[in-house]
Amino acid sequence: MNERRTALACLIPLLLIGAVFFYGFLLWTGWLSLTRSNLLPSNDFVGLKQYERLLLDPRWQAALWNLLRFSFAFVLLPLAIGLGLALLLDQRLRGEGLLRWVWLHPMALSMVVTGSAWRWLMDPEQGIAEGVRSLGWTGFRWDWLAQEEMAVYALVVAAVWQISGFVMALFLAGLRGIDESMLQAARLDGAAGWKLLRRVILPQLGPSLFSALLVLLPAAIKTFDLVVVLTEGGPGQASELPAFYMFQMAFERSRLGLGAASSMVLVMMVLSIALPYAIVRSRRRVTA
Amino acid sequence: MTRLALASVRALALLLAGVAQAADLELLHSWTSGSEAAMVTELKAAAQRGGVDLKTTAVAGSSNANTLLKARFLSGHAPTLAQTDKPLRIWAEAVPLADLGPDVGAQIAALPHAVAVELRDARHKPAAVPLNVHRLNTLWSNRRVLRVHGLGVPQDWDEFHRTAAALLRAGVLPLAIGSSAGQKLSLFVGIVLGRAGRDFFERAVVQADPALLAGERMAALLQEFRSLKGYTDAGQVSRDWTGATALLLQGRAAFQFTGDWANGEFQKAGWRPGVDYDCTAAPGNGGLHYFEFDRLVFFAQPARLGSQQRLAGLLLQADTSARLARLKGGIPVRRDADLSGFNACAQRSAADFRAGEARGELVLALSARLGESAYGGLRDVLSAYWASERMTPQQAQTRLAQALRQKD
Repeated sequence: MNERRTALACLIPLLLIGAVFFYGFLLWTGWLSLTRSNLLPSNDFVGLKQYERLLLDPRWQAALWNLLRFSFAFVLLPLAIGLGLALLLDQRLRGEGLLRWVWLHPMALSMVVTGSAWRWLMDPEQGIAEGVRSLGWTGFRWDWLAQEEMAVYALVVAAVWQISGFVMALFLAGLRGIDESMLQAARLDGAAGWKLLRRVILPQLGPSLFSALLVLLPAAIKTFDLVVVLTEGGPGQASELPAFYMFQMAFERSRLGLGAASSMVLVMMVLSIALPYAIVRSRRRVTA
Repeated sequence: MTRLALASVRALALLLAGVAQAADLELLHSWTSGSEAAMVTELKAAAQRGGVDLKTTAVAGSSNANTLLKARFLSGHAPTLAQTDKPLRIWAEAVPLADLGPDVGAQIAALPHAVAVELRDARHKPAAVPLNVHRLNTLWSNRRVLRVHGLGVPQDWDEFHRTAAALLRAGVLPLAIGSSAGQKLSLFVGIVLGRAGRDFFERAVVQADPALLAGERMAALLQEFRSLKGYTDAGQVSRDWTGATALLLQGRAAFQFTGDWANGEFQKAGWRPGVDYDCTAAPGNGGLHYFEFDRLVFFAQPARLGSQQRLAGLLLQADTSARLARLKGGIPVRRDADLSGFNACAQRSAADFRAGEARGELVLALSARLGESAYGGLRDVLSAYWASERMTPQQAQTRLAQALRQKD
């Protein structure tokens, strides 16, 4: 009992900080989203007016559409690349240790560093494009950063580069977890190559896939730093994502109420992914 | 448990409050570049000479400074004065401002009208002081490049298009521009003022006249605005205005539209106005002076009102005003300030400013006149339209009208 009390005493400061900085500010933001707050917070209640403004704002609609395009690529590409790399590494390659280190390396960088580096690499005048031109292909152009349609995919390039190694690690762990005797049995039954992969290996990677999705989806919704350093939402607002919109409105445009409303929508989006998972997990624990 | 909670809260409060203020007055600002920092040092010295103990807190980036300023208000430790880029009424609605008194009021009344109105709150009490004026509708020309190709500085937009086309044929980038929305706004304002004049600008953009915004003339102006994109390069997305000025200094570009802060870049590179580079009003703008001005807003802190009033009075004096402007690169606000020591570009700007004031034709920048939502919306539409290949001028007109109608 005494031990229990000590443990609790150690946890309380952390819980307190968590309560204040997470739930406290969540509630405050929720309240602000219902007020007329502009430059500074105010307690002038306006109901759902801010949400109405938000939904009618073409900039917000564009940000949601961009998020859809971004997440689609940001989830599918790392899954495909990560799985491919993991399968490759699982062939008992000689340089596995080195390759794993190289592929995991981008994870060690923050999005800000990744974004800044890719900003130079993708610079239409000075980056990779200029390198290719100086090699002799003088008509070469790679100016996604300057194109309204393609700027979102410039974000995808940097983000996928960053996260694919992590997804690979998840899949690799999954692959290593597959019982060797099961593979042997399948091989004895004549399964090999593609068939073995599709029928035996992939079905067992379910948990890895699930973990990867649970990391990728919220990460896509929360993407902010990458937009700031790579495109600043531009050209125009062509690569603006919701989190960037929220920051712009709340802190640059003095529309705190509107920014709060947009962040509440973001929270709900993340929760809609995280809550079902939490519920499933807690159910499983009860039955177990 | 409660004691623990209390202690945590108290520690938090301390963290948020930051260091206690020792000086009498504190100025929060974002003037951090070389010339700006020199101006702040001079400002402090001037305060000291007048017997005011002034502490300055610098934050890099105006949006960071604004965020910190708001946080300081929320935590109950507001500075006594701050640099502001917002219309004064936005602050006046949010927090109580200081009343700088009749002496400062009289000095403000002697300033150009367009400036003076932005320094008083809703009850006509003076609550802010101006530091210096920046002309925004300036065309910076690379005389070295123009001379090589036998071209001159264009005086109107038709001439600008002809010159730019000739430069394109010669393989020179006609127009250097960066990624910020403000630089596109400068182009747009230059076109509206240069093609349609001051009255149209006032009625269509400032007062958001729906008929003018939806009219043929606005469509043509928007079309011409985007046609300028043909004179720019794809590299614009990853440079700021200094990067664009650097293109001129490297001899790779011929023109740039930006405020008179660019003057310092040319001077630093040792370029002489009229010989190596030139600074003229945007094409067709003639003597129209479209400007913004740096200003300090004073917050209500009754215990420090005396010092606030003394500092405000000091900063309004002609010689202080001239010294600060010379260091920062603009022109003095006061009409009677001595202009010796200012270079040709600043002299020309000051002459146009004074003449414009005499004719009653000064044009104060949109940033100080539109509400924040409308101003932000205008910049959004212009930069989206500039970036887009598909948005038609008519669609841009509709969005422009929506943006300018917004109330804060």
